[in-house]
Amino acid sequence: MRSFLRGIGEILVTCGAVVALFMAYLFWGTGLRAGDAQQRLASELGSQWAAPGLSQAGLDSGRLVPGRPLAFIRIPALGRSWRFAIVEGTAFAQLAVGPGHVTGTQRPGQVGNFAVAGHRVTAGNPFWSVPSLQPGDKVFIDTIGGTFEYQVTARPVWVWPGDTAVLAPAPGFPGQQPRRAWITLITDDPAWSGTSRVVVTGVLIKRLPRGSAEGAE
Amino acid sequence: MYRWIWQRLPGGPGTRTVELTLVLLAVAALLWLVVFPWASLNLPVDQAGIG
Repeated sequence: MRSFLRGIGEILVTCGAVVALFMAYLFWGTGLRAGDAQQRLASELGSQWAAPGLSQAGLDSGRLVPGRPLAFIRIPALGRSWRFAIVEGTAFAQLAVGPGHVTGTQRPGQVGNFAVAGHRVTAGNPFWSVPSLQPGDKVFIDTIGGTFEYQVTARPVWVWPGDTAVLAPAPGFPGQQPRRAWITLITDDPAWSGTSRVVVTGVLIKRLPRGSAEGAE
Repeated sequence: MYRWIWQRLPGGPGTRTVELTLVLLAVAALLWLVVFPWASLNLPVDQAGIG
């Protein structure tokens, strides 16, 4: 009886240790993995942009492959060095390496809605501070064709996870014809959960040539 | 459980301690490098997408 109970206790303690190690992995391991992936994605974007024959037209209408990078996102209000490569798709495998472009929404700079989702925690916590963005904050999207400067138009809104209206070409107004180029940033709140989403919307105010002083990092 | 492992390890107490440490490290490495990456991509931790 005693050795049976000791066996149970040892198994429970072992399970506790495994769960603690998994928490450590979620906090640090996923960040390390995402950091490595971001370096790889950044150099992939760099060589894409340097290669001849590729242009903004390709990004506007070409096929986007899930997991491949398409642009950088920079938000100076979240820190001078805050920059992530955006990959195509928002499945767990894609969000694990960085913010993901919601497949089916518009491309950077296009009239309509360029929607990007990102993890609040894990994977380097890319969108941790997105819910603190204020109207007027700038969001820069660097693509092969240049830098798109968006400006946050309203305070963050909280929506249900199934509220696809925020992805509509005219954000919040499904079925309506968009007149401007919008950006929608999506993450979850509270962190670690799947209960609700926070959405920040901005509008394109300027298009800068690639590497211009204003758009430069 | 640990006693069962301990009794199956060869050598004296010192050798066994080293062996048990290696076994535990190997298990931790397997978890960290294989199991946790898989689990973190398949468990709904921090869902950020919509739809």
